[in-house]
Amino acid sequence: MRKQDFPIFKHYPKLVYLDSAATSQKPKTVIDAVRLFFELHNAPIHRSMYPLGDTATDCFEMAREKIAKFLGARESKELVFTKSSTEGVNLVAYSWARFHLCSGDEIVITVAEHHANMVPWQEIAKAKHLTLKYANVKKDGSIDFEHFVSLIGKKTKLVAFTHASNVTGELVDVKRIIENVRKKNPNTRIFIDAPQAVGRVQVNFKELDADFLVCSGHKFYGPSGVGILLIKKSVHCEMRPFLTGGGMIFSVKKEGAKFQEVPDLFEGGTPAAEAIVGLGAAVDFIGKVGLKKIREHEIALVQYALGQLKYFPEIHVVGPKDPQQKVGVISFYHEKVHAHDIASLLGEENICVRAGHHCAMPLHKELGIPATARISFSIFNEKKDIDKVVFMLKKINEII
Amino acid sequence: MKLSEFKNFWEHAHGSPFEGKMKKATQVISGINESCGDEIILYLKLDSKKRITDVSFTHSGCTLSYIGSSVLLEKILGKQFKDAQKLREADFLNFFDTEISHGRLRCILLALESMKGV
Repeated sequence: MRKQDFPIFKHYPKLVYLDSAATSQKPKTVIDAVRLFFELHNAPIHRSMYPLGDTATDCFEMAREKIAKFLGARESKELVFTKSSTEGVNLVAYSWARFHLCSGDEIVITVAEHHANMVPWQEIAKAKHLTLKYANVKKDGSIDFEHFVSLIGKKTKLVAFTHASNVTGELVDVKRIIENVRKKNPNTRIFIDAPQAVGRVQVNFKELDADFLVCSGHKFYGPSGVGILLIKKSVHCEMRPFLTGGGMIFSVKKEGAKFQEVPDLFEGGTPAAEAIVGLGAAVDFIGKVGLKKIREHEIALVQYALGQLKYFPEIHVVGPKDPQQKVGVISFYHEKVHAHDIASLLGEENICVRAGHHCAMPLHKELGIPATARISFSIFNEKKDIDKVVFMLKKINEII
Repeated sequence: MKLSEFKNFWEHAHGSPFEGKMKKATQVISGINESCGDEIILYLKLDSKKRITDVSFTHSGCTLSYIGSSVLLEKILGKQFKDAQKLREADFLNFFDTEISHGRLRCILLALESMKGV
């Protein structure tokens, strides 16, 4: 299904790519958009006095509009381009939390977070003497909703949590958590880490009523080097500069500088315009396929894979077992064979899976396992890709 | 790592003559790969001239870190400890009749790096 849209499979017809949670393969339309930008429109954006520069700026801003609409932003000015979602988290920690939180204030996150949505909060908590609280996970690694909500109190200034886990695949009921957080403390700012959700399920920033949301363009068919940070319009006035320099300046005197407003405030330096235009093409690609179809396809693959893995009593899947409660991410461990060995052996057969702690060491520690092997799906995957994994797992079991 | 190589490694990994704790070790070296959870402990017995007279190890983790520990001990047994620590990474990797992918180097080198770090 749709393999023909992805040129990599023309070059490697035997490739079984099951690592889309790490980075997605790129459709031809995205590759073409990047190439065409370089060939036809390349010029510095936002600073040129000639027509080619204007065209480049138009391409860039049209991509922003398109991506902002896709993510349900109230307006395109809510969307900041960063180099990664990791940068987006650090930006909010530095440019918002550092200026608005003080000793004794509390941040609530979950044990299920990957390092990018954990370590920036640990660091700011250390620097500002804040209390960082962790919501527990259940036995299967999914977030304990009741415990999460119980941690919210008067001192809670920020909650930051995943929309979909990169380990368990859990599709978190974000709306429900946000509503409950708002009920308990309406002044709490809400940060959503959504790299595994965007492109897999509908994510609407306005409807969610979050204050911040980050995602990674390269995980939803776009080029690398583009992260998205959405900042609610009403929070813009609370933001301070992050990286200072060209592009985010209103005026500079020897005595100091005045800055542009969001999003320009956070887009200092020359951005990766071609990659951002490419991400615009990725959004078009998703629109053409349809998120509903993408979701249905993923659920079918998850259901099939979980069914196949059940035949291996020595293999244990972490996270929810109901495909409706998961995105296309399945992590598992083998009682006898380390995840790295499994990934290496599959790799020799052109089957690409990830193994390790997936930048989520505290979650793995909580689950009592050092590492997991992870298969993750995309629109081009087929049931026969899962069959190839199953075939190899049987071969491994014959050896041990 | 091909299935046939894995088979050899697995068989080796379940029959190393050096596996186990050593009560009279004079040198106990721990190694851990935080990224994947591999943990090893190397036990060395050195005589008065710092020659390695006995070796053993315990292990928890992947096949490559197991093999890396077992083969290292086999190669350094009988050598001066200081000479053993001079064993170069490239020479060590030559002991294995297979190419180790970049992503697995940390596994197979865990024992060597732990010993060199003492």
